[in-house]
Amino acid sequence: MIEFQFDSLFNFLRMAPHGIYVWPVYGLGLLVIGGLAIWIRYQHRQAIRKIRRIMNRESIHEPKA
Amino acid sequence: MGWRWFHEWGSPKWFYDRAGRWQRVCGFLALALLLVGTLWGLGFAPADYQQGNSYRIIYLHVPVAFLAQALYVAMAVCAIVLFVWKMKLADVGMQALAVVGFGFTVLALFSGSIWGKPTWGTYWVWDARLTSMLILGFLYLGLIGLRSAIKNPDLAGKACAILVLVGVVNLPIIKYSVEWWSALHQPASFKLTEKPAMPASMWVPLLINLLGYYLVAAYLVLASMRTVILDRERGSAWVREVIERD
Repeated sequence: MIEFQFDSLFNFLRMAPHGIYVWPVYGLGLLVIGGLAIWIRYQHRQAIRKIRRIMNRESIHEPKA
Repeated sequence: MGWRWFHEWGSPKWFYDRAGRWQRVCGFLALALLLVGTLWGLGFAPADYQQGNSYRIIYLHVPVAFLAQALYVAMAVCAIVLFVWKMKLADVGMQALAVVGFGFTVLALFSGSIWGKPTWGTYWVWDARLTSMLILGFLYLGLIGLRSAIKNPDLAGKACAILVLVGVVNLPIIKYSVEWWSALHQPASFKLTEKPAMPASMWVPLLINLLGYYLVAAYLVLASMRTVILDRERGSAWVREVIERD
């Protein structure tokens, strides 16, 4: 049976004496992976915007029937 | 059926449509697994008798270090497919994998370095494992730089594929460095072929996180590949249909 290893939330956060090493690693993980996800999403939107601009430009210059 | 599935993989349109669905599934599963694995590892797994609570960094460090190498292997497979079958999608895969692989390598290096301080008393040593991982990071960075330096996409793909294949030599060095040379870094704590040395309450959350981070990587690579495909295929009719539909 698994059980919570700390007697309080404060001790969990403190993770004595290694909290100052453990929590920054997970913070960095969130930052790097979250940053990658946001950056890729931004690039995707940029690609769509770029194609929309090209399509708009082409529709303006299309010869009218 | 035959080889049809293989040819379908060569179609950017086919891949773009399916990758969107796979990406969502990977994202949801990854979130669920990482939430369970990380909470279990940080709060419910027992402390290590030697390292105390600092060992809890393992639940991030080991999966991302595994992935930094696995993504390079995937890039090497893409490079071979590009040379043998000249499949466009393999080049797209290489481009997406380089960015994600670089992110995971940076994370593996920094998390290992922070873990090194309470364990070894130092953030960095020029140990064979650490140095070969740093070289892996430079290889990823070199690939990103090489691609952006060459304007012709076909030529850029071939040049990157050559660099990827040359860099494969670094992978056995990373894996066996702790056995070949005397090093500060401990040997693998987790092997798929052997019973783990740690109790189940410690390795089960590690396994859950390993799966979770693999799914995160799959999510990021698929998302990045879809973006690269849109950019490269912007002149084709199907891309315009997709944009108009959105």
